[in-house]
Amino acid sequence: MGLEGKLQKWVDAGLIEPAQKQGILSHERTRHASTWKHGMGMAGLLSILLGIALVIAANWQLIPWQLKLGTHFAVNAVLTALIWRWRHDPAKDTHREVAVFTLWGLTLTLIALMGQVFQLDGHAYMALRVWFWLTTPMILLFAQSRFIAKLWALLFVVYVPYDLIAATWDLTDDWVVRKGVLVATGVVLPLLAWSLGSLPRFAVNRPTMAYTLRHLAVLVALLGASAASIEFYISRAAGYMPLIPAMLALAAIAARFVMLPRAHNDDDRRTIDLICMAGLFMCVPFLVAVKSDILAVVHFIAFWALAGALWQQQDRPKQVSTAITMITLRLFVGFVELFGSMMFSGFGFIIGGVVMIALVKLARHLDRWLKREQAA
Amino acid sequence: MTLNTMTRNTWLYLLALLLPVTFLGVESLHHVWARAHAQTYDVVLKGYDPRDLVYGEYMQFRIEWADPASQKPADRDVKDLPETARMYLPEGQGYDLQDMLRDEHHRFTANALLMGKRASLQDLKIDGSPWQDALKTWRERRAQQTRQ
Repeated sequence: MGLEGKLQKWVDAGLIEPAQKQGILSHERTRHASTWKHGMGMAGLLSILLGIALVIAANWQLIPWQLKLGTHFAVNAVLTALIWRWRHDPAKDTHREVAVFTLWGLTLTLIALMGQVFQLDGHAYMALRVWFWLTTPMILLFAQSRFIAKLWALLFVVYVPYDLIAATWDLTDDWVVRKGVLVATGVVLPLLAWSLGSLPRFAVNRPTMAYTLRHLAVLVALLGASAASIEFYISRAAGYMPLIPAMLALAAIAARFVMLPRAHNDDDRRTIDLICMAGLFMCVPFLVAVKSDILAVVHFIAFWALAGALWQQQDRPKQVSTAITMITLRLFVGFVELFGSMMFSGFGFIIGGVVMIALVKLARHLDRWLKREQAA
Repeated sequence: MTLNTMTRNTWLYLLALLLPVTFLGVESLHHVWARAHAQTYDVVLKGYDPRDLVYGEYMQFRIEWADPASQKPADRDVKDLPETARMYLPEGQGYDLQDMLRDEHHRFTANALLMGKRASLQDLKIDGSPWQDALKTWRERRAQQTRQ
């Protein structure tokens, strides 16, 4: 059914007045007209840019390196100047976001071009490292759209832990140091991201980026604590040094007491509790010198159960449902791990199916009960 | 939301915005200066051709300092000289050059710019000719052989 038909039904049902219907239709017509006009304009601009790129690419070998590098620097400098010029102009918000995004990407291509022109050694990840850290202050302070904030957050979550861990792996074969860096990354990174996202001035001036950083902190904490349970599957023959995880666990506890008084509301307090608790759960598998499939399951479920309890206090039914789903899935995976050989037989499949249905029913029942409790 | 409220931190914002272009500008000038002041030596090359996701296609060469045809600095021990150097190439040239390099009959030489423990290559030559000409001849010969 089209918009007009839908609106007529609402008019007939007495939900809106005929004048309102006409107003909505008129607004939509104007909006679509400008969308078409802007879309065609953008398509034309894209065509011109593609043409320029193809002309440059076809003659790439013939262009002197000074011209290539000089032009690239000039484009980046112009974009930098435009971003600075538009920083106070709310009418240029979209222009500024596009310029920030373009400059962000062009900084990477400039690094790549420098590598080609000056015949530099080094791996791709080193170029990415320089690019990420050079542009991060600019993104944090100038980007305002959710799109750039989310893209940067995605890069942060994937790249920063990977880079820290990869650099450590390259530097040393010592598993004590490697595991120390691994745990420290999982504990400290969320705390730093949360602290930065909660800075009052930053939160006021850059609400989208601050919000993204705080969410990022929770996401990294959840991923770190969940992934830490894998340590229970690994032999303790190498790299067992309880002092480092013990210190980091104490740091997570201390951070909770330092950060709580600075929290603005109860919601923030519970989130700080969650991040610090995740830090503790990150440390536990590295502290306990036991290789155990059961403990891996218990660790994972205990963490998500406590996370669910905190979300329940925060009145966040969606997250509570996620916690229950994670626990259910882990229970089933645990069942497969313990009785995996049975899966080869028909009875195994039947029992597996029954367990799966029972767990899902139990999870849904628990979810409904918690939501009822919350509503009451 | 505008940036009006941030005037107290103007310098911080300006620094964050200028950081990428300034850092890379200074880095580029440093490379230009280093290339202008580097000592250069004609050297014999061996090597292979990997690829790089960011930078594009390149040849990774091993510099044969021990080859009698290679020039080398008189005041430095061969052990202290860079063993490898990379040369970026236009897209689509690397694999054919790799095939040429594997053929023992071809002799690859270049002008190596020594910059500390790093070497940068320029003027790549194959059998004494610029590599573009040598590659063109090699490709023509290969096409002829394929037709036959």
